[in-house]
Amino acid sequence: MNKHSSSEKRDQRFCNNDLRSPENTAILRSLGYESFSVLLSSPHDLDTKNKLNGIASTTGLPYSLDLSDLMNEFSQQDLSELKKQYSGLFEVGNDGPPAPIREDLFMLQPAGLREDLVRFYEYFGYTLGEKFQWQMDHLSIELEFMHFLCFQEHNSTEDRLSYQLAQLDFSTRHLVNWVPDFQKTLKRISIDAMYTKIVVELNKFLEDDIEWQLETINDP
Amino acid sequence: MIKLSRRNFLKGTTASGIGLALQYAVAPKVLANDTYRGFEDLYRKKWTWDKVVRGTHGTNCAGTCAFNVFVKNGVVWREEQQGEYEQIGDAPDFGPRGCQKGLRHHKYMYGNQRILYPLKRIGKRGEGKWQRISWEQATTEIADKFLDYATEYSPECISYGSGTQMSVKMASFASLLRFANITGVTVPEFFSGVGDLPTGSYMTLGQVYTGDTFASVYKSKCVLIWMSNPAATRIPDAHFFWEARYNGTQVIAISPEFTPTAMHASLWLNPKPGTDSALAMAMVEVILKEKLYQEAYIKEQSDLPLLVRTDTKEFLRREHLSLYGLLAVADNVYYMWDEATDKIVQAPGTGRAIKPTGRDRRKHGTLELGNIEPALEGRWNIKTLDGEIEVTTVFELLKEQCRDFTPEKATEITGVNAQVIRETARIFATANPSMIYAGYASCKWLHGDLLQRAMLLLLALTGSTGKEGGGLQVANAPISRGMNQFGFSGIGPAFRLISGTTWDYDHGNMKELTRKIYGKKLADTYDRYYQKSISEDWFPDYSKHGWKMGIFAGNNGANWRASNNSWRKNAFDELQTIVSLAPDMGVTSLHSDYVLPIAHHYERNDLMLQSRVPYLQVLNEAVAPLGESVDDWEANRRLAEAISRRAIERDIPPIKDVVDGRTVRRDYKKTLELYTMEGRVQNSKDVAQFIINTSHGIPKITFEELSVKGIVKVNGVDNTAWDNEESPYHTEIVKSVVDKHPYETFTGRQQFYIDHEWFIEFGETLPTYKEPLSIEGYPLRMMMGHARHGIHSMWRDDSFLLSLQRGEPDIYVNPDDAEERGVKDDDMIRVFNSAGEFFAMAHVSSGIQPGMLFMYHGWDPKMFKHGKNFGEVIPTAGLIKPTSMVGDYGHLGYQPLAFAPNQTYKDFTCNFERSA
Repeated sequence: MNKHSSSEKRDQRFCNNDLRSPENTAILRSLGYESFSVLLSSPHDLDTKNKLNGIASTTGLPYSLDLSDLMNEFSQQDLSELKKQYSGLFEVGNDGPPAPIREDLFMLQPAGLREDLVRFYEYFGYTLGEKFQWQMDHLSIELEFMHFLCFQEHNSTEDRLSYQLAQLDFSTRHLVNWVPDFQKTLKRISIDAMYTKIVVELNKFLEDDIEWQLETINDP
Repeated sequence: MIKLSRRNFLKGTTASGIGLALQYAVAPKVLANDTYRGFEDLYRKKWTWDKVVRGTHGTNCAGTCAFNVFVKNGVVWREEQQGEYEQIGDAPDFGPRGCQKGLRHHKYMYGNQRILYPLKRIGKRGEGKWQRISWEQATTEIADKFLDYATEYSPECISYGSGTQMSVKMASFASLLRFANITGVTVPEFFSGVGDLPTGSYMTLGQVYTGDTFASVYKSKCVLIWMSNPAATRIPDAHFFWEARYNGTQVIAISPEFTPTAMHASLWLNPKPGTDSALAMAMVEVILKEKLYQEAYIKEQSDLPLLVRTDTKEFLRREHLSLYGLLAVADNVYYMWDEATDKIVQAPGTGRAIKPTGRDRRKHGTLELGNIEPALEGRWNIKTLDGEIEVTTVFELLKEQCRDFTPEKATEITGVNAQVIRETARIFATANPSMIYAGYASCKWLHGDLLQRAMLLLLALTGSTGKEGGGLQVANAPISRGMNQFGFSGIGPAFRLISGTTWDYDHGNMKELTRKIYGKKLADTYDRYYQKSISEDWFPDYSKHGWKMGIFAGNNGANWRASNNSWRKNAFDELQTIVSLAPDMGVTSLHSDYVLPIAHHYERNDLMLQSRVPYLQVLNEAVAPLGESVDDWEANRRLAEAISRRAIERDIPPIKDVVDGRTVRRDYKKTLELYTMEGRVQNSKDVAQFIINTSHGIPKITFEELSVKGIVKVNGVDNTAWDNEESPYHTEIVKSVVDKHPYETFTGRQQFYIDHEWFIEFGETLPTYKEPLSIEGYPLRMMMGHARHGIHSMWRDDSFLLSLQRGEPDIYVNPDDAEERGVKDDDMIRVFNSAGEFFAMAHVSSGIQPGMLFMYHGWDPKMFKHGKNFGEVIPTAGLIKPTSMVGDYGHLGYQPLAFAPNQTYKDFTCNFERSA
């Protein structure tokens, strides 16, 4: 039997802020997540392109992330074509969307997944607008939550560790748990699609980011 | 961790110079929690609900189960049975109600299959390529096509197909009714269209609505569960059978396959598929031979003592006896032989005005015999206008007929041991009261009417029809006064309602299908009678303008039809425009040009009232409709708005539309105004309230009050039978038995003898057995039934429910049949006949007889290899039975939802082999 209780393990979790340098990295990572959140939002629901224009550069991250080409290509897309592509990949199909952009659907609705998301959101005061509450598992929303956590890490003065640990747990329990397979699915069904390119880039970003997070956090 | 307030949160967002830009979230309303050190911290707080809402599932399982629906953050997370039903009389109560499907809906409603936005087809039909469009674009384009067809041809060529999903939701169906009534579209009704219409019951009793509450099962002393499987398909109500059994009731299951119901029954009889009428007739033979019948009952209530001419096989009528009778417009005076006076007398209850209905019947005589002592047996010579002729009784003719159905002869046909038949007949005859709980499968055979007539004969002989705990329990339905009033209010009825069966026959080239599968002779014969019926004006003809546009709401019509492959090819895909209104993607939507998203069960306000559960049940909008879905009222309102708008923009003048010989002026500019009653009706809540206010038998309650209560008991429920006119259900049969009102049949009695010339030609004057049709060269009879894990096609594709089964469509086969073909359990098999083929997993089971296959229904074609389901091998849609299209015979003539030909589903055979 494990002599260490889970509460003891929790207490041993800490972040090496010297290594992490949150004052430099958090806001840039926040921007990275925001960028992907905007890129993967529904062009039917939100003014994606306009939102994208307001996002600053992410240069300076502790790992390589250059979204300029991707953003350029995205901004040159015809909006109606983007809408068609988004619907065709993520929203409709004979047997449901070919690649559901909602984690719960992509993972075949396992018990407790959506509750876990809501508990994360509630715990950190991230409150979805009424229109979006039912799709709390949408990839774009999950990315926005990460954007939110990173931003709070940057702004926090008293308990930065809470946001840092939440990022790691949220990434592990959700994003990293399904986005790798999601990008494989997209590559299989439509390798040239704009949205496939975005998700492939996102997957790289998530891989790099989780690796970097694990380097900076002691997680027994 | 820092405590965020709205003030310092917003301040924080600007502190870095780079803002926190949230697309989905609002500024935090709830302060953040304590320090976070691990995901366990998320779970320390008790999960709470924002609200718990009353609701149910608007499906046609006839359950109307009261549920509590748990909501948090605008999401439904779970549901539980409400269970607040009181006891009525001394029968067990109705609660708690529910099943695994309902308890899964909180997941299903967010599932992959959900349609969330208006879609326009951009690929080929069925290809699955869609463009998401706005409601405005969708309704505008649909409205333009609608106006094109309505003005160039007639609104008759536009169908609005309502399925069972729609019809059971009262506000939704009333909305459709009103929309159809205003626009003039044709509504092919589903009752006969899915082969559920109890035509045999109508032929015999003048009523299809003979069922009581489910608790009436408890009051029976012997229940034959015949062609039904309530343990799997009526989960909330099956307990009544088992409670009755503990109470001493003999519960006898009759089905070819060993069902979940059979395993709980006192006795199981397994006739060969389609031979049930032979079994029933053999039981009749036993009851007659052993004189176990209730003589007084059949003399008073039935036509068994009525006299029949032996020369022409016609009833002896007044026209045979006097010139006055010859001149009568419709002669419905019948005679008995009175043993008290030893001469013929007019039978009580006969000779009244043709077809008095409902409460009017009391003005038209009585069944009371008074001093008459009708003879059941004998032959007499009497003088008529044709000279002296011999007459006898229907009872005598029945005895003669039964000589062909001794238990031994029935054994040869059915495979059921003769002694078992005798014992069952004796139990049934001596139980008092006895009941036959028959599934809708009894309507789906070509000769299902004969089976139902035989069932009712058993019930009449034992004096069970019209008694609490007795009778034929197939269907009842709310007297839909409120829904009709809503549909017609302010405009009157100008409505086209057609049997779905004849609609498909006319538009699906079904005669050709029958010719191909069953041969030219049968196809020509049936078609000749069909055309004769139309030309005689016995049945309406809505085929003159063709079929241009199909709107499908609340149904997966391209799935459930018999011969669905042929229908899709010859009718569905030939349509110029197809519009589907649906919450979930199925084969009908897949083939549509436009798909409009419809709200699911917890996203709408509505009412449900089913025949066997005496409670009005609410559907509440627990959460907002997902995506851009709307409820049926609103979808129709948007269509009406677009039709009006485009009619104004195109300046389309009113059209003259001839409906059943009556000219109706339709001004499409006013469609919206009429639909909303000039704005007085705003939403489905208003519709529901209208129905509550105007319906008979429903307590007057506000929708808001009902929303809080969830259920309310309907009026006039003192026991388990529908025998109180204050109730919202049909009580005609009980009134005939108790108050002696004549039945709504030609003879005014339970009519087992029908002397219409077509019945004489086909040898069906009396109940009898006719062999089901087979396809030459194919030895196995394929049976189907409702499923445990789905309600028709709803929930059939749910991942969790699939995990409780085999995960994909499976078909039950007998071990010997499997071995003969080298098939093992779990093998993929090809099921085929001359109509087509489909593939499914073999489920080898000793519960299946040799020579048959069994498959639970509802699986959508999209779940099968090549997108082809069982409908590929069911070529029966063109089998329209001539005797179900007769007219000019008292009660027999087209009556929507009462007398129309059923779509046939059962009369075919097939084979199977192991698939590579």
